[in-house]
Amino acid sequence: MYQYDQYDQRIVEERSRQFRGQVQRRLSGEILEDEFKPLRLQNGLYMQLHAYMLRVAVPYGLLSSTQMRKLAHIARTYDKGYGHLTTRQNMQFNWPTLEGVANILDELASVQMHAVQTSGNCIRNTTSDQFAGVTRDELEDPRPYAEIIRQWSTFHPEFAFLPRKFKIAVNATPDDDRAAVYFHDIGVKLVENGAGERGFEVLAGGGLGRTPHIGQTVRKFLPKEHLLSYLESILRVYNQFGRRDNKFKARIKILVNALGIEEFSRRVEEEWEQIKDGDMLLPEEEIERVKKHFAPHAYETLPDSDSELAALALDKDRAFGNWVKNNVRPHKVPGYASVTISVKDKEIPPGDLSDYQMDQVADLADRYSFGEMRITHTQNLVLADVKVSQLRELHEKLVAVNLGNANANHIADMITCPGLDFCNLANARSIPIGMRIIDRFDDIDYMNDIGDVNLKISGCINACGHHHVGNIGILGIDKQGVEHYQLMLGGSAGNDASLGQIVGPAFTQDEIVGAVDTVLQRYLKERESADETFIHCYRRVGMAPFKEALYGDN
Amino acid sequence: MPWHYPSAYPTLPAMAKKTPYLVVTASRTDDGAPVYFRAQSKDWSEQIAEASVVQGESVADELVAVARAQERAVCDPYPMYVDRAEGGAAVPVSARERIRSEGPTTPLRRPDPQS
Repeated sequence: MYQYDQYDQRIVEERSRQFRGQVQRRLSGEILEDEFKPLRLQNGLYMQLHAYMLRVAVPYGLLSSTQMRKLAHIARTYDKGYGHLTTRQNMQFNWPTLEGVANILDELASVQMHAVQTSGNCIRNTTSDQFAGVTRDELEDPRPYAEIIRQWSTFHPEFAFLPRKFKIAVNATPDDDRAAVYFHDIGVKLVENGAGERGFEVLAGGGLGRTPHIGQTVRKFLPKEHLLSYLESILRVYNQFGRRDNKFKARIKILVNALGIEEFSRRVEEEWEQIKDGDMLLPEEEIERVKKHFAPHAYETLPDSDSELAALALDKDRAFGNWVKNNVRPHKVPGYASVTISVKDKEIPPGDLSDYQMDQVADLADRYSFGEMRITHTQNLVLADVKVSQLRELHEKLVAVNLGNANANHIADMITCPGLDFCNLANARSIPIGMRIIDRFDDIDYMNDIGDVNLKISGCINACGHHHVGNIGILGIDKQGVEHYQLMLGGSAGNDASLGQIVGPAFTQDEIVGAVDTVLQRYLKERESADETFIHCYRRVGMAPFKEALYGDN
Repeated sequence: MPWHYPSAYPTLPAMAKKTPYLVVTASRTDDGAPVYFRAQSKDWSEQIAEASVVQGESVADELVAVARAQERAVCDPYPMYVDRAEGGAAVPVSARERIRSEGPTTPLRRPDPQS
């Protein structure tokens, strides 16, 4: 993984020192909240309902075991003994004190981490495919490009005060979008052109929130050396023409749709013509320099294990077999596999990890996966490089620390925003609803029968839980002071990007879990075969059967 | 002991149930904790039951102005509607303020497995 050079290290240490001074001035009363707020937001520090919340940046979700142990230490020492995985592949802490945050930033800097670009109107943490570098279907590892974007965007002086926050994702393959590139301010897809050259398709204007939009293609093929100049051009057009008069209309998606993709692209290209051959040109040597940080691990030469993996999925130990079936995927190196560690359990909020579990996962990463792990945007963890021969042993150890659930990519493997339990903006709670759903679908055979379906819950229209792109989406609303939940169907964050549609009147908190079950029961009746997934069935039969199941003839 | 999700929050119809009572609340600077203003001692309590309850928005605004003088200690004071429990203590009307005063309705940290 990428290792800081002296400049990176100096930047995070200086930032930590500066923030300590700012905290001291705030605590002494030298500056008040109005002055302090923009400073804390530039260091990932929010004020939530019960306490401050610190969001720690994890570039493209990649963590070393040393860094994970440091996060465990921070959770134990400065928080309440747990951390929360986020949809930008970061980790956040819900209970630090202000003085504690100054110490936390020092602790983070000691392991090449920080909390910049996790808040405020800047370019946020760049996300990527959680199986980058190990998946068979990728054109190439996208992480070097995500890292190049990180280096370009960090403290970029021109883009420190954008109209609104700005999110970029880089995918690994044109065929299977695991990074939700169609729902980012900029989505970067690795592609090949007709001549077999590798480059990028660049999308812009995607996003969720109160006005969801699917990203549109700005350029079909961009040679690699122009990546930064092109991103810079898009940001410049946005920075100049994006609205600043209305917070709710300030994201780039509003600009792209107001101008139309043709006019937006024309302005970008016009800007790009002026800077494309300037000092942002990415020479091959620079790309290669960054790529060296992501060189393949020292894999052993092992026989092909695809048939063994298929056999393990049918293992007579059904807990293990189901886990292999749902949570393990083939690796591009023979004899290895990638493991999704589900952080979705009926007894804890989705995405929460205790300090103990963090330490345990770090140990397991050292023992089974070259000391590295990834945070996924679906609030899970991945050990990307596990020998197939060690899967059973790993599963036993995960079960022992309550991380062995076999529910990846199934109904219980949801995205859930913090909701009204923590968030200042929320209208309704998300976490208890999520936990009830996990509990309701705790039967692995029923869950397997339902098959691949994703569910996403947001506690308000800001859509931090990505409800618009859930096959099943739940949106919490406030109806005359009482929490209610709207059900949406048909969303998808993948290559077949689509936005979910509201089924009908909202449900109460006591009704919503049953409503989800009603939808799934109806799907089981409607599907043509077990191979027809929920989303494909929905697209074939439409909303009507589900509406009828939920509301009858009314 | 497995955790059981909480029973439904009491359905307090915030908008429907008009109340004339307000308290002033803020987030404490040191740790962000919700605190409530005590007018007589001009200080803050973590307990909403100890908050000074006033009637009417204009009176509450005056209290906010007093509270604003303490912006080293707290961030962004604001008035919020409350109901009055037996004995006169304030009880938040909205689900948001109720959760804010009582804490999250979810478990905070999973106990370690017993070795």
